[in-house]
Amino acid sequence: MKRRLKILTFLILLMLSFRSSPAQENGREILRQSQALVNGKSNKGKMTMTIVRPTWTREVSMESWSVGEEYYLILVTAPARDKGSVFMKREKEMWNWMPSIGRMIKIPPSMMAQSWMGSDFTNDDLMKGSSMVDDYVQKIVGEEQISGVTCWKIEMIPLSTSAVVWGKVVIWIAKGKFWQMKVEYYDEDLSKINTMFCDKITRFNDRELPARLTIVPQDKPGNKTIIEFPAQEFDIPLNVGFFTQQKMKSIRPGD
Amino acid sequence: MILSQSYRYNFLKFRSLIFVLLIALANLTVNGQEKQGKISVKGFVEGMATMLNGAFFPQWGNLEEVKNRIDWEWNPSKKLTFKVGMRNNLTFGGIMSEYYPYLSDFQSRDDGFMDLTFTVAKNSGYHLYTNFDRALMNYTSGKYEVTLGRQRINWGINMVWTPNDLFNSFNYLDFDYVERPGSDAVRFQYYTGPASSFDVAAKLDHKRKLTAAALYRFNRWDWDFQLLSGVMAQDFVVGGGWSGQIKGAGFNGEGSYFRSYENFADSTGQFVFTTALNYTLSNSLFLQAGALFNSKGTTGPAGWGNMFIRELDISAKNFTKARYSIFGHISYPITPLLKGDCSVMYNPSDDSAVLAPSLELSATQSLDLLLAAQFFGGGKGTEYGEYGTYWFLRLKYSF
Repeated sequence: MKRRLKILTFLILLMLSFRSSPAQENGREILRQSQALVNGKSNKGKMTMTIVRPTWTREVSMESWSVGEEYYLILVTAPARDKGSVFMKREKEMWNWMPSIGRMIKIPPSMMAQSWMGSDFTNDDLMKGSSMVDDYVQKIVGEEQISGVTCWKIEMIPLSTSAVVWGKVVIWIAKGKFWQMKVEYYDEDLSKINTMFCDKITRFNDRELPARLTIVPQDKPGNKTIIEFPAQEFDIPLNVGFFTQQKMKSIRPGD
Repeated sequence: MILSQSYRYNFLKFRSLIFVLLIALANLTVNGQEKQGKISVKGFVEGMATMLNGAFFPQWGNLEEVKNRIDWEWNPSKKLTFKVGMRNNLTFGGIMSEYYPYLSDFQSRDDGFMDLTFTVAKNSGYHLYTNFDRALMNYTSGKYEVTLGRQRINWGINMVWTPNDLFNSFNYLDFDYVERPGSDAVRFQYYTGPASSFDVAAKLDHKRKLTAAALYRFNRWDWDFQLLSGVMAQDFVVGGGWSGQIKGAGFNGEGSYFRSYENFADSTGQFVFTTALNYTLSNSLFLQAGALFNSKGTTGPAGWGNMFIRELDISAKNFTKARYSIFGHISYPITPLLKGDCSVMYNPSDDSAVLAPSLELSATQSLDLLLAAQFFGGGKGTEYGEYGTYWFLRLKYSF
């Protein structure tokens, strides 16, 4: 009996030690959990991006399907000029299908650094070309309040071996909720280029997430890019077999 | 005689009216039909003014074009798709009436097995015509796909010259018709993997000449490769191409070897090969350079002798009459709404070239304004020597 109690105590202690393990205080682990929340195992959604400049605005709408960070498919639904264009990412490779000319174009990595249709996003941000978790070294540098939410402040420096666009990224992640509330992007000279703010926390089937991201470039008053997610579904039955060139050609809005 | 002429005139007038009404109706229904059922519609309306002068046109001349394109797609089921692409074009202007009243004959010529190009109205000074460049049915079952009808079969990889594009090669300088004509063909595709497929297609053209070929596309070491073999008009063809990257730069190439099958023993083959490199800098400046080799090409003056360089009879075998061609391209978003672009094609043997700069402005969400030019230079009889200067101004509304 005593022996059984001893084992039980040991097991409870073991469980407790797992629950309060230093993993949660580890920047890499926090970011991994946050990315898992944003990406889900799989995801399908609609997205509208508005590019705001002092004298004009432009809007791009798309539907996307993804499995983790490695498999993406994006169908452009507006503006009319680009409607029907499809982008697909499979691990390190990317293609663009242009239905009007019936051509499949392989996108080389250098093209990923191009800004997405004139926005403050690069192709790399959009297609998650680099992994926030694997291509950077993360470090918790403090705790701060963002829009009334207590956040971990995590500094991320790219690994010298990874081909990422940024020189440094600082991210504020809501404690316990894992929402990415604010992100600052720095270039190789460590001057700040963009700041991203997230708000409109919304319930999408099984989870709560910010439904609006606003990217504000540094030193460019009146400029911003807003991304809104009118619909999102997570952990849907979707596997990597979905991401094929055949699917790029046959995908239609609402699929 | 007079009676039949006036009858014919009235008939033409009546037919024109019906066509104009149909075109108007087709465009009006666009917004109404968009989300209904499974029919989707998209297209554009544009106006383009061209000013040109050169050896063929000693005085500045102008050509005006109004173009409308509508693409319908109907998906009655997950497996079945119908597509129709219609173009309604009006051409007029001084060049046509003064120098080239036969432009309408050229425009109304349909190179397909089916004649789907119809003149609605014309005289020596204008031409209004309708052309269907897509009219197809596609049936998909699992990894199999069959497409029947007028369709674009695009096997090219390169952005400028495409020796693997056996079904419908294009003239790079004809920038205002990127969709390209379709082929009247039957096509069978089988997808062997996420980025690999087997493709067999056969088409007949207006001369009842057969082009039939098989293409195998595959992916190794994160590169795309393709191999093809078949017949194109009177030639046997074997070819292949690749698209990959070296240190972030895009690197592609494609080549085809053609040899007449009618007198295979007596003829020597023709090898056409192109390769290109492209790189995008972090400030979005895009750079591209390429070259083309044509084993049957000349190292002497390589002029075509045509009045309009946009209207050359180009095929996968004949992009140019030159042995060697060089291409350079640079593009840069000057502002997010204004894109600058400049390309150059150079024939090093006869020392002639064309420089093609352009500026494209996104005026509103769906309205684009393009200002472009083509400056040709070189001696008499050279590839680019006699075309002078072209200026283009285009306003394009997409829906």
